[in-house]
Amino acid sequence: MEQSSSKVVIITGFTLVMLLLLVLVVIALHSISNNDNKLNEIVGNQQKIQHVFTMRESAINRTLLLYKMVRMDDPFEIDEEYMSLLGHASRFMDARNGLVAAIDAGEELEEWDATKPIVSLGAKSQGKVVDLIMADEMDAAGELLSNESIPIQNQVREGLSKMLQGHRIRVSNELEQARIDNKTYYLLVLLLGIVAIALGVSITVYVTRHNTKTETAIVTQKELAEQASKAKTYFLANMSHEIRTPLTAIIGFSESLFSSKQNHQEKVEATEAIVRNSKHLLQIINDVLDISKIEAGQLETEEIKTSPFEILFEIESIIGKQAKDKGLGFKIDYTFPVPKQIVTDPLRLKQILINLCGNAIKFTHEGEIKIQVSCDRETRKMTFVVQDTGIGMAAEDIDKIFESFSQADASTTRNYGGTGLGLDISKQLALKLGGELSCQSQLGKGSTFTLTVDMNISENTQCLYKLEEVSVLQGEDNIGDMHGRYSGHVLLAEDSLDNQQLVSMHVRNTGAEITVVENGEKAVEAGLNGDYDLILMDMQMPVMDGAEAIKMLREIGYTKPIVSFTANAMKEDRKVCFEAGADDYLVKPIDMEHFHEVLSRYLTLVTDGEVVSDTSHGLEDDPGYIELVDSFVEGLPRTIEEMQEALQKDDWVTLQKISHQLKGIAGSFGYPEITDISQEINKHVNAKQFQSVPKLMNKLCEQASKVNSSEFDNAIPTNA
Amino acid sequence: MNKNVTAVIADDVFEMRTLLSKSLKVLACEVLATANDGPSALVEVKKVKPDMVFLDIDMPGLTGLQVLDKLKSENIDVFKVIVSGSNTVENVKEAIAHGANGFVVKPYSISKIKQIMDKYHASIGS
Repeated sequence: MEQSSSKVVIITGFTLVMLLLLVLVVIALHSISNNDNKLNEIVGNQQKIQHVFTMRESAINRTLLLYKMVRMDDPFEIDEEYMSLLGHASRFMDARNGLVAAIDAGEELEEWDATKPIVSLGAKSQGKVVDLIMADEMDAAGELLSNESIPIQNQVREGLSKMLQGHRIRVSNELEQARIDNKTYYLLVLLLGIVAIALGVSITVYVTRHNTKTETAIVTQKELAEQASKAKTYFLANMSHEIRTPLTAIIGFSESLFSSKQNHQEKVEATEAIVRNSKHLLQIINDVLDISKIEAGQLETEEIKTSPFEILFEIESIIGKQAKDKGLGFKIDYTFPVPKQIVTDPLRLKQILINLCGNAIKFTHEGEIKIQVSCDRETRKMTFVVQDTGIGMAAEDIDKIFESFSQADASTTRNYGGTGLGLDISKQLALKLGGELSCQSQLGKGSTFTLTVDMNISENTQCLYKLEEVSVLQGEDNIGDMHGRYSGHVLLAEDSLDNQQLVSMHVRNTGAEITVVENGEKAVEAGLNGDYDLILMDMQMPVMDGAEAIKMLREIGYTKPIVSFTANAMKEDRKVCFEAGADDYLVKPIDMEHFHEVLSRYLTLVTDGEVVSDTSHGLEDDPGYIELVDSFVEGLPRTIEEMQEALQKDDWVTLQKISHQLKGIAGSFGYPEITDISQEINKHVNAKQFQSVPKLMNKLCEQASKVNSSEFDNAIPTNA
Repeated sequence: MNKNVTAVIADDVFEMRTLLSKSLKVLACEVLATANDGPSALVEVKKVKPDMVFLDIDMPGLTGLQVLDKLKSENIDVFKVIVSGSNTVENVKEAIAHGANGFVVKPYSISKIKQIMDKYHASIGS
């Protein structure tokens, strides 16, 4: 935007300057041509003046000569003067011709026209005087001269003087006009010149300033980019170190488990180290994901009814142990009343508190960590003050710790580890939860972090007034939290072999049965075929992913519980699961608490070790169903007989038909073995592999005889 | 409310029809008619107007999928269930594409049929 507007300014400015210069040139040219014209006119007029002047002088001289001649006696002198008189006549004529040629129409012509008759009259009169002189009639000549010629000549002189005067005035006027014109041009050119120069200077100044500004901006941006790049490079290097550290421990301890020299205690310790480091690694990955979400503006929080006490008890159990291990004290002080429930994002709140307390422990070498909890009913905010007696920080470092990728100083990372992301994430999360996070610290004395979050409570939210009430609550909540044993059949769809083994192990440990398939398509087929109490469906699988498989199963009438496995617990991911039709979700890596909680929701809890086989809602007790099974069992020998007859007669069509039917029916009544063998027979007959059919028939007879010999009650299927 | 659910069963195998109809009876579903091929299934459905129809995928005359197409083109409102001996995803996809509301794989179990009934009840909002 700024770029383009400055371009417009520069182009407009330059165009204006160019236009001004053009106008200046035109004016200057015009002025020169005007001056030229005026000069020509003046010169012309001067010539005309000269002509008139010459004419007047000649006329006067001729009169004077005549006057002299009239008084002369010597004929030679008279001839000499006569020659002179002719010379004046010639000058007069030249001047007159020159004047007539140069004369302009109008005033000048009028003046000349008025003077011309007298001039010619004067010349004629003079001619007569000369004639009389030549005839030596001096007296008559003198008389004619005095009485006629001189008065006429006086008129001629006056006329020519008038013309002279007229020409002089015109010259003077022209000179005056030329002076005025020149002055006007001068002022105009001066003014335009000044404007052009001013404009030129302004544009130059503007362009220079703009360039300087742009250059400064570019330099600043470059510096910022360099800084960011440096910070990220540093962060990546540090991250690599941070990731390698727990990985080294995980790989090292895992490999050590192969060693036969390790005793049980060492193996337990190694396993603990693996779990601890894995969790730490997960934390790092979560932090990086969070920060990238924050930077992309995609961090979302939820609003869930939550007991603040439950969160704090959990913090106590996690942080209390860590503090104790480091020889530090840990306590939570409540300023009652505190609402029994608040509406917030419990996971995020826990994340902030764990981060703050974790830091407190990290930077404290002796003393205690304390959380003070209080509520303001007015502002509906809950405040958590996390106080430690650790190394503290200098005032100028406090702001820095909330920036991504930085700790108070680089050496902190070397001494204390950590990614430097936690506090930035915590601060952003606090804002998202409707509160804020601030810090006060004194170098060497310890730090105090104050977190506030919105409680989103109403007027009538129940409050607790002492910790004992809380303990009762906690007792209530913890009922049923133990990991129990379950019965039921679980189908797991998961493509990763390791995860297959891990989940299978966990499920088997609860006493439930598990069947594993490796993609969504197999899951649909298995789900249609068997009766599973629960399907655990990974979302990301080859061939057909979890969401599509769940959708398909739901579409064709599969109504039993399906729990999806998702790589993370963000709202979006869960939305995908639920929209597909999942009843619940589990997050990878598996949190054992949550895993058992989910299993307990969908599998039958076995309290005293007894195996519950009833998985089809007691329908087997239905008289109608029993009757149905009864009729199948009764009819089975006849069916087998028919098949054997067909086999003996090589009647493959009949055999194919009966085996097809039996395949469908037997399983339905809880005899999967008969279904399996029938299916085999059917398959072989269809494929015309008749030689293997007799053997399969024998197997079928054997199974069928088992059915008939068993008690009816035992034949009630389990649908397993 | 389950009492009122009615069904038509179409399967070319007598035992299958009997088994399914007995199973449905257990689940309080009244079988109004049975058919042993596709065309008669279509006739029965139009005649008795059941809530549900169970169609074997592999029947003479018209296959289960062809019956689905006919029901769809004639705008007959019935909850359609395909019954098949094969559980391949290809079959399932095809059934869904032809407008099936449910898919049951033989061998039957009460549990499987009950799920279909559950879906039917959910679909009518009872």
